[in-house]
Amino acid sequence: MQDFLTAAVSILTPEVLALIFAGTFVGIIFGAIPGLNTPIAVALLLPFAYKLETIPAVALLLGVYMGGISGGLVSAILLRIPGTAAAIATTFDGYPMTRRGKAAEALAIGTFGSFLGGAFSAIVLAFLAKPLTQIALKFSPWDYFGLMLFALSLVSVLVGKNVLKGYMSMLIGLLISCMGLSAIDAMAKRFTMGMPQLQGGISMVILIIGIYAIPEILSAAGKLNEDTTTAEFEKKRFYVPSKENRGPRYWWLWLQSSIIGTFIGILPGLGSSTGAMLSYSAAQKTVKSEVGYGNGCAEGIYASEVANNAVTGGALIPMLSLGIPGDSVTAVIMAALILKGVQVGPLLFVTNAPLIYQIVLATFFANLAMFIIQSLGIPLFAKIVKVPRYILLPLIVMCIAIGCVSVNNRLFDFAVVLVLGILGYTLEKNGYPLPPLLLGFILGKDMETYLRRSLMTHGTFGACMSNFSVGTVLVVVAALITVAALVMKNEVIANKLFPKRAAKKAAQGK
Amino acid sequence: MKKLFALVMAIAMVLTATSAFAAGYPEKDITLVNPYEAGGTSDIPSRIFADYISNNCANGHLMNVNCIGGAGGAVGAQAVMDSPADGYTFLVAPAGFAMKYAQGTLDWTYEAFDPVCLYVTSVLSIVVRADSPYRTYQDVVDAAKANPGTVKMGIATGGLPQFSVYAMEAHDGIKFQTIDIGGNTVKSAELLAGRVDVMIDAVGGVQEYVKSGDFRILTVFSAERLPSFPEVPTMLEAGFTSDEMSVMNQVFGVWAPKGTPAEAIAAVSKMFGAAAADAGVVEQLGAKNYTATYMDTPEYTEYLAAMYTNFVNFANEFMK
Repeated sequence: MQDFLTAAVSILTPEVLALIFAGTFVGIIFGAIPGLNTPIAVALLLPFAYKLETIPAVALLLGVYMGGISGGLVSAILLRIPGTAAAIATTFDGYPMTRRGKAAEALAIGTFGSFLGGAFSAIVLAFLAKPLTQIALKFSPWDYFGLMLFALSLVSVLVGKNVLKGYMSMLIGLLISCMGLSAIDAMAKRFTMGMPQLQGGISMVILIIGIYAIPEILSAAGKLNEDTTTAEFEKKRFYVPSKENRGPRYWWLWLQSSIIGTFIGILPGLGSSTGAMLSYSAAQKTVKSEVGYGNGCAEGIYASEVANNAVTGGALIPMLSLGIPGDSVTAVIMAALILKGVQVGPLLFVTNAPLIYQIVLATFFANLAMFIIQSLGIPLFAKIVKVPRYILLPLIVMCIAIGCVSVNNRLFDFAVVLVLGILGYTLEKNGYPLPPLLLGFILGKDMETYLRRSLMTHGTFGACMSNFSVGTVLVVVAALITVAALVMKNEVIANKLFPKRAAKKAAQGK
Repeated sequence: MKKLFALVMAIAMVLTATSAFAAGYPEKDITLVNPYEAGGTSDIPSRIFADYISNNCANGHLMNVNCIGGAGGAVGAQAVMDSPADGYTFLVAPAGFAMKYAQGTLDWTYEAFDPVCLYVTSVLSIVVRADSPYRTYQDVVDAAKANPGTVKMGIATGGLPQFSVYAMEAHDGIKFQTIDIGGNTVKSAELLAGRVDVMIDAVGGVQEYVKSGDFRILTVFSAERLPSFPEVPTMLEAGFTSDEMSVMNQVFGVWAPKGTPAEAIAAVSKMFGAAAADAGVVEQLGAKNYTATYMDTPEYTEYLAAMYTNFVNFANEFMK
């Protein structure tokens, strides 16, 4: 309690609160604009952060982190272009809601959901950091492999209408992730086509822009004259979701999504995009929606946005207690702490307990700042939909060009974006869902690393499977999901297996 | 009018280009590319140096550390190689690059860059969990002799620890079951959870766990005992020759893209020299078990030549 009060006193100063707001604001802007992202924002603010004291510096960076994860929802909901990878699952229902003329409502739901998830994970960070560290430690490379395989199967099956196409899309993502020098030993150059620029593989920003933004712009270019949307919304200062979209009947969905997000967060490397997609898949199976998933329901937006912000608090746990950053942004926050003389690691909880509470409080206030700024900004954001597309799209292309050149300071990446754009457009037009491709790409390299480490430990795949563990169970479940989905989609087999259901269906059909 | 304007612009550009070094280097922020993950063993000392340089010797400009990880450092190195040789982009170069060249996984040497200076060295160590039955290096050797290929040795594949394992296996006629635990900061968790029995990592990376009572250091890969761990014996005491040890020393230097102006190289080398001589920097590094070791450009270039020869000879001898 003493520690908590000390921490509260140091956080609740005008300077620190102002920095949290400033950081969050910058984060939202960088998250919302496709092509710019949180790592770029952090890199820009870093020299400034290093000049500050420990607590203000961390507060600023945490603000950018929270704002960046949440800001991605703006372009995901309004344009169907996720501003960051975290917001991929937000496009599933956010954009359809915009098409129904409820852009402001969708943004309000997403913002409110982000706040709930972020606040939940901050509370978990405050009370359960130590026990959760133990869970993170127990997770072996084989368990990670199993979890990733499980996530890929689940998303391939549930997103999109055709299971086979979902899997093919996921496999294309895995192949793209193989590009460059091989994982672990860097011995093999894969799919580099003789170009040294491809040795490092393709970066995430480039892939999202290529696969999501370019096809969206291409298909929009084909229907410029169509009446886009009639974004009607009440004039309000401060937007919160309307009564029917924030009632207590969502409590189970909120809790479930928060837990999934936080859990994925404590496992380094999985990231907020995985958390959001898993949470969305889980919601599809466990929470009923009147409007229907994919048609612009509040449940879909909540599932994604609650989970992706819940990842942030979770990701801070292994960073603080083990010195393992969960993603590139937490890595920079950790580097800032280390430079300020704070030793992250097992002793932090003993030697520097107030700091843990300071970080918890900063995380909480950053989420609050995000909620306030984004809610105030909704009328502004929603106006984007009213901008004629022939003005808006070229502007987005410009942002994209800047963003993709800024990744590695080379024009080569823009060529890659165009090639990927054609790939994405072709896949999309032929009914191949894109999210499995992205998830395959995001998890591919780590999955290979973890599989190879498991093989180094156990010797053979059979030996890995025969040792009873979370990983083995998840690999089996992943295989079962695949087989079950393929069988159920095959009408001949499904009818034989479930004659009653077939009869019911036939009756309905007539 | 337009022509005149273009002419004036052209003259102005030429003037600014030529006066870039005359007016006092640096005129803008300098980027130091760390080719590994943020927070790792190469990142921490680089940031300590960059911090000092930004505050004291860069004309009010900054030296920013930019982490471009991937492919065991090859991605970051490639990025620097492709950068303009204007004196504002530099690379943190670990001994691992020489090792990768000796193994044949990199096709360039330090000669593809302009070496600037050496600035920091760190010491590797053999670490076990505090509850491990191994109390000395000899215990590990005995266990590996009794059951070849079963002692789980955690290393960063493609890093210096891999060569150390080869050297140990060759020296003592033993065989470990080597398991990759990554080149970044995740390593300690693998030993903590008991998924490896023994691990090789920089002292700076594990000392927090030693202090917390989770880990024990069996031996350090240095010629002399460390002041911070005077009770821990060195590999020299375990019977290794200094030649064998030459492939186990972690040194970090600074390289510039080929063709970088000599003035810029001299200036940056001087900056690192000043930082390495600063008492505050030395203390900060010491607390994390790094040593500020400065070598100027000619000395470092000679050192690199010898280091590459050592690694290549070692690879020819032991890795066939």
